[in-house]
Amino acid sequence: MRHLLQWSMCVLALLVVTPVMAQEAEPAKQGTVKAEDPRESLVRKIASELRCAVCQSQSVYDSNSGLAKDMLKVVRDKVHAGEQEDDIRRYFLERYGDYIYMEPVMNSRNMALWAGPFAALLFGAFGLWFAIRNWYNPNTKSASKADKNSDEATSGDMKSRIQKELDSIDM
Amino acid sequence: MWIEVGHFAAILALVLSVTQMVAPMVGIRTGQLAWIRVGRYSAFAVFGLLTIASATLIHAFMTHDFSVTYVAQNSSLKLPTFYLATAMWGGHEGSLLLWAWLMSFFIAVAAWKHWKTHSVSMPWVLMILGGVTLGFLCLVLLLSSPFERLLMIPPDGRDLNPLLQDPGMVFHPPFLYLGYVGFAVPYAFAMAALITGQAKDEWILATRRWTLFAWTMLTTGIVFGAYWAYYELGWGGYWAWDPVENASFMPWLTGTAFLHSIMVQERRQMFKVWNLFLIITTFSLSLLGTFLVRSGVLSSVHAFATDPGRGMYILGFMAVMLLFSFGILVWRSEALKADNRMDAVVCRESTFLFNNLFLLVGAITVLLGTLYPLALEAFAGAKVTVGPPYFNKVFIPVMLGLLLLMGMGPLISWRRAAQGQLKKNFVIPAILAVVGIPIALFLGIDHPYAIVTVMLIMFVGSSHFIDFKRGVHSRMQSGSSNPFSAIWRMVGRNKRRYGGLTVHIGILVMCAGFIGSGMFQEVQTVIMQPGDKVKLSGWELTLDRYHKVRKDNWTATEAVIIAVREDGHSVTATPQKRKYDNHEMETTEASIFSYFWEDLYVVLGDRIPGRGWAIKAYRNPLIGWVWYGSFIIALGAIVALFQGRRLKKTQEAN
Repeated sequence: MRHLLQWSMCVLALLVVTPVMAQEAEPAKQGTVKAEDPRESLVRKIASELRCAVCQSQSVYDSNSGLAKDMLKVVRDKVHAGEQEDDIRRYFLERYGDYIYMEPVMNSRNMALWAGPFAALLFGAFGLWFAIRNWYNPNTKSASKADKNSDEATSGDMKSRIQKELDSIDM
Repeated sequence: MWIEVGHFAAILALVLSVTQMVAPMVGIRTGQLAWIRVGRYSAFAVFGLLTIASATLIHAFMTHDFSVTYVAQNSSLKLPTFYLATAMWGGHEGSLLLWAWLMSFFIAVAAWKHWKTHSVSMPWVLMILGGVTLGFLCLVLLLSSPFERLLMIPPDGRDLNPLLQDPGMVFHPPFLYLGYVGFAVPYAFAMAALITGQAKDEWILATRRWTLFAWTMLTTGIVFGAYWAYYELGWGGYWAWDPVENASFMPWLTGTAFLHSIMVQERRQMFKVWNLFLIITTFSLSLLGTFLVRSGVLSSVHAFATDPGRGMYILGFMAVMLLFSFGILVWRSEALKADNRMDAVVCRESTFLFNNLFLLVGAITVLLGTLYPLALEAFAGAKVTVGPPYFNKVFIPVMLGLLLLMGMGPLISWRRAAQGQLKKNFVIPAILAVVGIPIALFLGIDHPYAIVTVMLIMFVGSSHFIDFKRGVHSRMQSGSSNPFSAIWRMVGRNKRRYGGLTVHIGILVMCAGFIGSGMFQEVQTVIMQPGDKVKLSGWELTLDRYHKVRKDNWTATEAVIIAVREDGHSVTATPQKRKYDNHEMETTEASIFSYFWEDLYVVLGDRIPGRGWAIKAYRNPLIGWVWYGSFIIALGAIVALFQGRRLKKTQEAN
């Protein structure tokens, strides 16, 4: 028991330190209704868009590593000090580079990343369109005639025959 | 002693996989069937031997044989029996053996089932699959042998990674591997068809069920992984676009494209080269997944080992496979010209083509996002992070396009769609899609992607419903007395079609789950002492006490929290923070209560001295729908799997 307590003291526990709570925490009152600090949602937003620098693809908010907890504390302190979101983000950018953002920055270096998929989609769609037009063979008059017939012949007899044929075909 | 038997069996299996490759080739050269039969029996023997090898490894775990390095590293005396057996795939070496074993099983089944029906392809199928087995067995035996002994026998093992001591992790890898390995059989048949140049569509018919089975397993495996992430990692989410998740998602995307486009080849004898390209891509992406996970190139929760030697080997293996496959494809592509031409621009064939485009672009996006940081670091020396926000921004719109096609496909007929018919079919779904906008706004959805998703859910749902209703209606007219027997007969006669449409519905349910959990998650992060309360929209949580729990190989701090819902329903949440004896890392055990509309998800955070413990309470709306959706998908896939040989008969009749 003792050992575990000490151990957890070491790992500690910078998560969720809010001044509001500091006031009411001292005499451990029974039955207080607690609520999240309203600024916490901004902390969450900023911290989940920052990368934990020592983890693989985990955000500062989600990671349990020591560094992430330190970074989270920095974010929280800054939010509580009233700094703007952009300033906090810039603070981390200056120290770690754009590597720290979970979302890659849209710049010329990351062009391939941002434009690539859409270029592929556009290119592919044009390619397909021309290919389909190319394959399209308008000489199959018989097919269109058959279609017309089937449009007109919607009598029950015909319909059931069509259905029977449909049954025997797998789609 | 047993582990040596296993080791020897695996070595023998490696030798026999060479026989499996070579003997059928000799048979083709000399024209003697006996040689091909040798290849077939080698395949059976490889399966038997690898079964022995895997069994001895599991035996070593069960008997705590810590003289085996792999056992010493991945288990301990106190590890519960259930995890002892499954620790076999808890680490790198054993999971590769599992891969090889499942693979040999599939090969044996393929060699047994298709021997008579596909005699022309069989020697080549045996040769190719023998080559793949050989590649994996070399990796298992030369670079990462699970059979190695330790000189100094430790009194106790190092224990299994705590994150893997979880039922979700027990099922996740085998299902995923069944999916990966399952694509090997269609791949081999495709290559055999290419090489022999005889069987034009035969390979597709032969492997239709294999493909569907592999796809189902892969889907289930991915969902198991997501579920594991949801309840074991304690962050309230289930998908993080982690590179390893992406690695399993890419073959799923191309595999889905393949499943759709083979339908066009079956019916219209088109897209032959395209289908071959897709199956080769799918199988190589499965290998790429193994490479990414097993090489340690991307270290993440999943990558337990970091060893460049293995990475280089798998990369080389992939290069050989790609060169061989695409080489033959290019060499043979002339022989595969389509017999049919399109009769119209707007027809089901085109929707399948565009479906393939979107799925492929989706796969490219995931591939780009996964490999771009690696490439940038290797070539430009710069570092970049490609995280979830990127995928959410780029991947989701591509998938929305796919969703639109999903609604259109069933309403557009094969060959050519008549204009009048087309308009009539689309009026109601289009109106309902527009109605989706106010519904979305009313529900409080404000993100454009999510609004479009709601519209598309309405569109696809109604188009599928109309399709279904029309089928029932015409059957009612043509004799069926009541709607239920009509539905039964209709689905029974067309298991594949209605199985497929059921899968679509499952996807829609999942999408609803994505929106609900992604956009309406609520969190309360508070420090609590016994007696404290916290409110979380509709729930009131009261902390009763903290206490210590000791079980098997771990000790935990547990919070006992009484959660009461507005309507008086009450549950006791017991989130834990666990410390496993042999590991430094602590794991969070979230306490989860699942309901139809929401999940209550409570996590115990860190201890704040003198002030209590941090508690994170999440309300995750509709998250259950992600799992329900996956059940529906599995159900639909199973229905479709039941479609038997009728396909062949109709093919002959035509």
